[in-house]
Amino acid sequence: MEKKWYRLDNAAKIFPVTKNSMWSNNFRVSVTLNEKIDPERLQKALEMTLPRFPNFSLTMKKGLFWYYLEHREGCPQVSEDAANPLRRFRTNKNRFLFRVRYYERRIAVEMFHVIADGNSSMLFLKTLAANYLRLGGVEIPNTHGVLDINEKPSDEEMEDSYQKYASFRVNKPRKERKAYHPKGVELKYNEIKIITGQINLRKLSEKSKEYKATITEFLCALLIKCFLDRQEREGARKKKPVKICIPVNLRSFYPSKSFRNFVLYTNPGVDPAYGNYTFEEIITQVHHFMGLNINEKNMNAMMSTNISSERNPFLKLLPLFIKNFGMLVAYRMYGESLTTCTFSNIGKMTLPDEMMPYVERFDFILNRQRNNAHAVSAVGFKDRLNITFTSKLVDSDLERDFFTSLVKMGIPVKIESNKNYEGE
Amino acid sequence: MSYCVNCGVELRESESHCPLCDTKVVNPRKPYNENAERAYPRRYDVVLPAENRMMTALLATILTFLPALTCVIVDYVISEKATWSLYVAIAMGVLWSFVLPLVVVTKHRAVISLLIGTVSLSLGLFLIEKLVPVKGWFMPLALPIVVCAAFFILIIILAAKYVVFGVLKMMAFFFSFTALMVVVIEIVTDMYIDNSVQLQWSLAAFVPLVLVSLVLLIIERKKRVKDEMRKKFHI
Ligand SMILES: [Zn+2]
Repeated sequence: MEKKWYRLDNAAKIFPVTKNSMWSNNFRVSVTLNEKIDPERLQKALEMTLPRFPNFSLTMKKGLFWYYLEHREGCPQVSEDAANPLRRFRTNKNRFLFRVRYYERRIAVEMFHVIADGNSSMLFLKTLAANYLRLGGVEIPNTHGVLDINEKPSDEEMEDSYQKYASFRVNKPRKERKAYHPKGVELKYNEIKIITGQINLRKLSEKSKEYKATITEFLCALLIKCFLDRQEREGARKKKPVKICIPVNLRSFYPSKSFRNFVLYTNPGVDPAYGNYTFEEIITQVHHFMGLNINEKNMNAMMSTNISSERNPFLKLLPLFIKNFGMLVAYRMYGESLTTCTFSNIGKMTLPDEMMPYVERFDFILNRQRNNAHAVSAVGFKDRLNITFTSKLVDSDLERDFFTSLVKMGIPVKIESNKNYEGE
Repeated sequence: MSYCVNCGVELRESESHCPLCDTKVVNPRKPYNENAERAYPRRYDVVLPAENRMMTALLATILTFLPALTCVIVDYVISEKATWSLYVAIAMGVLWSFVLPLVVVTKHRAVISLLIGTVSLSLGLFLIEKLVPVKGWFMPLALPIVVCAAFFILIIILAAKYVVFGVLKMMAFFFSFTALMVVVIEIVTDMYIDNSVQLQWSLAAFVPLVLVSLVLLIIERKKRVKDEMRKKFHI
């Protein structure tokens, strides 16, 4: 039987190029239930869920000109969680590009960004959790992002929506200044620091409204403020702009059903070269920047620009290893160096009512970018928003600054982390 | 419910210290419970060094030994014994021992490469002494120079890596060390030539180098001079 294969979508093309022996662009979504996870039952639930998501049954191969994704049979084994999650993905030997892990009451799905983005991974996680609960005798309908496992996957779910919806004709220039990057002592190569703050969603929403901003804008502005203060403390002679990379889910502009990547980015920020910004000024700046940039026309222009370089016949015909080199150079110039950190808010999760009592919380963790020190991600559920900082730095000054600022504004925060204080 | 007295955030029951500021949790009413469910297990995933590195090492090995081998074969075919090609082989071997640690080792690469490379360079020079007709220069001349140079480079690498200097201070340090190295090399050569030390050419390098580093240090110390310089020489 001939194996089905897929081209990498436009956003995914960079991920195999930038990954190295220590790091790959991955993220994880997890759900905490109210009882201890049974690994055997979870394995069964995974075997039930996997056929519904063909983009998870993929492995990455090298072609002469491009990488490609190939269908593979079988189902990975669920594994125990670890203190250093988000371990890099290796792509040789027909490996799966995701893993399912369990710990106490939590089910986590870790993904290599090549096969899906956070939004579609949440569908997978919800369906997996629903199947797990069903195996325990709970009746759950297929609504609110829980997919029907008896339904046949459609071609639309595997489409490259960038190719389908990009229609703009002009190349949008992408010249931007390099952003500030924090300095500090780094952790060991196999370690990652994760600090999660659980925040009262109602109070956060009220506070954001006070500043006439959305929750994402408010948090993004606070993050910018913390980075500006850090840069000030570091005492660099020449201050660089602080810019935050905000992923934008394009499914809100187009009727795409794709399970694969369909996100773009916008980079709000402020430049301390213009003077000292107050928090209000930062919020205003972020709010208007987002309003100006996050719209269908602008996103389409960005998407079309990205695709036009991929469609260029000369570039297309370069052998893969030359292309890789060129893409790495381009990534150095236009990639993460333009932003200080990524902040992805995946929004508020909903579930079928029948499932609600069994689920305590959702978490969303973004791996930091290859050279950037931090990444921040958020997901809401019930009355709380969980904000997670991943970092490669030993010090937690930025995280402390961020969360204590919230406390000072009257928004309670509950902190947890993967730090080990053994022997103290 | 425990709070960090320093940050004012609530802490998960399993946290013995505040993750934000490392302050120990103090709550007489509710002492830290070691058995509380932790956010993450204590166990670490093993992250193996990548196979890629080994591939690069293999590639580096092939790239250095293939030319050497080719030379030996060509030499042997033409003159029916290996003569000049042995020097190529020795040079490539020395080069390889500098490069390989850079590829294989993950930490302290520069230092390890320097140490292994120095040993193999000395060995290479020793072998060359055996091959050439002129003898007796390895022990008194080549070996001391190699060891001194390696020592100075080692100090400079360590300073650049582990001591946080400003740019000016680092340059001053580099110049004064180079000055010292030049003098030591002349001492070694003088001893080899006529067993007596008379510093000549090295002083011509030593004096300006030391002067430059002194000037740099003065500029570094005097903020006023620094500002003046910046004013006059700004780009
Ligand atoms: Zn604290």
